[in-house]
Amino acid sequence: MKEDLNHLLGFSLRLGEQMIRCGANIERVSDTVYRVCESYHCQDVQFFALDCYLTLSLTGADGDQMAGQQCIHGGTSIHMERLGRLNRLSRQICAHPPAPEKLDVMLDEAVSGAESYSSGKTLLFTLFSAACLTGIYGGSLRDLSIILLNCVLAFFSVRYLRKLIFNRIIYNVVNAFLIGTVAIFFAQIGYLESCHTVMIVNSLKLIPGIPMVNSFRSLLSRNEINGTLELMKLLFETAAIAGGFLLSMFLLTGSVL
Amino acid sequence: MAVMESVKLVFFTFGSALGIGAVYQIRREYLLYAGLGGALARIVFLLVKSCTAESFIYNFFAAMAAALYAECLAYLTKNPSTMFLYPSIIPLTPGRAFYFTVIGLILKNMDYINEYLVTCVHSLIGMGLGFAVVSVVMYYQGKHRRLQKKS
Repeated sequence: MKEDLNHLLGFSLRLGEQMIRCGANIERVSDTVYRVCESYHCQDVQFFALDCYLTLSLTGADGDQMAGQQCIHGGTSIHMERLGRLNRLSRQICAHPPAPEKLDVMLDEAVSGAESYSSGKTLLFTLFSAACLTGIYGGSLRDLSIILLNCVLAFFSVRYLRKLIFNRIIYNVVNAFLIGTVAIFFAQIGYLESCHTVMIVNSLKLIPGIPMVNSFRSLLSRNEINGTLELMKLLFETAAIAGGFLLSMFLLTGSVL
Repeated sequence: MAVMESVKLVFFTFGSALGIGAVYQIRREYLLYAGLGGALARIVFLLVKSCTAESFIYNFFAAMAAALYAECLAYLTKNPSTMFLYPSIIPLTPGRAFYFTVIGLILKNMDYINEYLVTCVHSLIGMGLGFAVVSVVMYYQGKHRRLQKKS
């Protein structure tokens, strides 16, 4: 029936969107959408995904055709618990496909039911990981205190500006500027033992390691368009970190040379 | 002394991977696994580094170990492999080489660029390929199994 196919199409696109928002890689999303659609005996499924755009066309068991697309605005925010729930939902649907009109409700429950750590706990874990990273890079206790201060500042600035800074490039410039400014200020007043350690540890989360892994994966999985786009983004994000540092150096020391 | 230094590094990597896992909202019961993934990657990193000074090689094997570990845990716990993979990425990122490359480029300091740019690029490519090779092999294996089931 055309209505069932419409439900399935809408659900599959929303599922893909939610998975990408939680940090899933494109190949995984594509695999999941194919599996879900095949469990409803679709004759032909064509799915194309970028991390900002999805398109899906379905041919139902009775020959009806339908196509849809979905833009993904607002960037991604890694949430593994939600991704796990979406993964379990897709497995459940593939094992025992429910009536198509129930799919949207099931998806809403999976998304809204995912638990998150409270802000306080997330901040504590952020500080803990930063302290361990300081240990890896051999920072002193003084360096650690400024690294933790930077983490707190970044944590609140991002929360406050979350709706404005959904663009990763701008986010990197703002954060690198913040990190650079605080580190250079405390180095200038003679408090820091190693300004470099502070900047390295605080910028670690800005370095686009995850997009790089995903871009290689996309390129090796014959998804060259997404792989190339990810690589381009990676270059811009890296340049943004350099831009943020440059700005802070220029403002605090009056020169970049 | 070198052994103590290595143990310290493994311990700190375990802690940072665990913390990052929590920031990525991994459920409490899987946080320990996320930390262990980071520690395993660091152990392989240090072992291979003791045999070769080539940054591409030791980053490649460390990333492969982390990716294999993530795939195995994903299979056992029926969770996405990214859940156990992502926390291992940040502690392995070549922060020092990356930072000094950026500083070298900003300050036009050729000493920094010569010393760190190649290491940074080799490390990042080694790491990216190590992670990607394992997950791509698993992806194609899954696809192959699904096609076999169908036929």
